[in-house]
Formats: sequence, structure tokens, C-alpha cells
Amino acid sequence: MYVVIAGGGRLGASLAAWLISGGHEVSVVDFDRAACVRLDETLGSVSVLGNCIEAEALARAGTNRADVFAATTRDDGVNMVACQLARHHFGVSRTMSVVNNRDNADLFGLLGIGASVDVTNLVLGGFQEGFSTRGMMHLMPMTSIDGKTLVSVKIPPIAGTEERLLGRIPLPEGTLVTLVITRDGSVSIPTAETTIKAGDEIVVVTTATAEEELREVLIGPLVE
Amino acid sequence: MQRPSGPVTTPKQTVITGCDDLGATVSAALAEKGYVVTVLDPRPEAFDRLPRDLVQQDRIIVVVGDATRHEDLRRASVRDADAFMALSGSDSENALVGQLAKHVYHVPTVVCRIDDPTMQGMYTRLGLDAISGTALVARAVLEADV
Repeated sequence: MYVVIAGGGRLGASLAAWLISGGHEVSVVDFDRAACVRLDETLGSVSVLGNCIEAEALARAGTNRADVFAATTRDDGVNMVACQLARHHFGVSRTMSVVNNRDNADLFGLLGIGASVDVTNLVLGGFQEGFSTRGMMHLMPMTSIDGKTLVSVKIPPIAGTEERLLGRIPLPEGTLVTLVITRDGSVSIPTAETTIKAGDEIVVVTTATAEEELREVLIGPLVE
Repeated sequence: MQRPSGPVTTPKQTVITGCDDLGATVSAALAEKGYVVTVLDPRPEAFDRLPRDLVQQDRIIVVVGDATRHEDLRRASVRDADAFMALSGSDSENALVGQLAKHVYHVPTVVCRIDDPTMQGMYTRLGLDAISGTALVARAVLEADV
């Protein structure tokens, strides 16, 4: 297989090394001369010095005969344009890209670019949410048109409710409780008869639009 | 002052990203035509290019922010926009935010400044209204009587 990689940073270089170890042929396009030298020293001559949003550089990398094109830069605009050029200008049928800002994942999906969200940003996002909101953390986006996402909710003590029957909680449409982890660490797949107590953690599939309502029924409104 | 005749309609909402000379000129021209224009740029000093009176009268609303961040796009009212123009100096930024406006925020009219000729041709074929300053100037030069 022949793979052209846009961006020779840590991710691009690791991907190239992995592909080469699997017997594949690889070229890596990067506009930084030092990055190209580093790539060639460690992986043999794989680098192509150039701007990966310019057709001329992608042509020099032999993008027209690539089986797969992978974009790995820190800039989502550059990744998107590079993949679209590979697809529409050079006729590469399989393109994939890292998505640095997960809000862009839907767009990449709509454009037919296989998208993989950068984990560093995902973890950072988790921390940021931990600071800014109570009790709900995004675990991962799920590839889907309607923006389904997996969240984890820590159930707080709610005044007047010791425990609640899952079937009685008015969950918003499009959400599904997939897993309940109790305070003592036991894990189960819930049914309508499962009781939810303060201190439990539940893993829920939800959508961007249903998220606020979900938060409200499980942990109460955001305002103190 | 002359007022347009006919029924009173809500002024059209336009969002412009990038307040270089092009963004500033288009913003002022649209505001003069009665549009409500929101301009987004990360550099506060870029807004000095806008006519001060139009900003003071809220006919041009300035938002300091990064067009590639969704929360900043939403602060610039992308969701209520009738038209969206990505006019920054970066082709890749314009292509990204233009396609976000079109496909994710469903703005009815989207115009993108794409100066690279290959990219401009590709995005035009993909149904994006991609304009190139270079191409427009070249055409004007070639069409001029010489």
C-alpha cells in the first residue's frame, strides 16, 4: 500500500514508522526543513519538503498514486484542505485525518474524511469540563451524523430522593443508559428496574441537543 | 435620509470573518446598504479599519475571536446569519470556516475567499462560492481596453 502523510510531527512520524514496519510505502509532506531531515534520518528517505495544502507539493509526493492519504497536522483547516485536495484533485478514495478540535468532527464526517479526534485534546477537554461543570464528562464522540456522544455522569445527592428507579427518570429522547458503576465499584448493564443512587456513575449515550436536558434530569439545573 | 419603500423587513444578518482591508471594505459597504454586519477577527486592532460611525451605531458589530473556534463563531451569531463571508488572509481557514457555515450551521449564502487557484477551482466544483482576488484582478486586467 502507498500512503501519503501530511505533517511530519510526532503523530505523522509515528504513523509513518508503523506503516513502514508493516511493509508499506510512505511519503511524508512537511514544510519544516528540520522535520524533513529528522524523518529521513530515522525512516530513510520519506520526506517531501513542501506545503501540504499546495497541489504542487502533493503532486511531488505522488499523491495521485496513493491508496490512502492521512493528514496529521495541528491545524484542522490544513488537514481538511489537504484531504479534500487528495480526494477531489488527486482522486484518492481513502482519506483520514486527525481532528484537533472535536467540534469539527461532524464536518469532517460530512465531507467524507475519516476523522479521528486527537486524544490529547479530548483529555484536556475532560479536565476543562471537570473544572467548569458539575458531574458530567465527555468520554468520546461517536461517529454519527446526529452528533452522538458518550458521557459519564456522577449522580449527586438530590434533595428528597434517596434512590431513583431508572425507568422513572424522564430521560430525553435519543439517550440510552449503557452502564451503571456503583459506589462500591460493581458494574452492571441497567434495566428499567435498576435503582440509581447518589455516588453512582452512569455511562450514557446522548446527543449534543439532548445533553442539557439529560444533565437537568440527572443532576439538576446548572444554576446554584 | 432616503428610506427604502415597501414593507419594513428585518435587516439581513451577515457574518464576516477577517477584518483585513477586504473584510473591512465589504463590511462597510454592506452596512451602508442596510445589512447588520458582525465582523470576527482575533486582532482587536484590525477593527480600526472599520468606519467608526457604523460601529458606534451598531450597524457593524465587532467580535474579537478566532473563527476556527465554534464558540466564537456562535458568539458572532453564525446561527442567525443569512449570509457568511470568510475573508481572512488564510485559504485553509476560509475553507474550513466556510464549510462549517454551510454544512454545520446551514447559513443560506456562503462566500469564501480562496486565493490558491487549484483550491479555488476545487471548491467551486464542490459547490462552495469560492472567490479569488487574484483571479478577479487578472480578469479585470485582461478585460480592460489596452
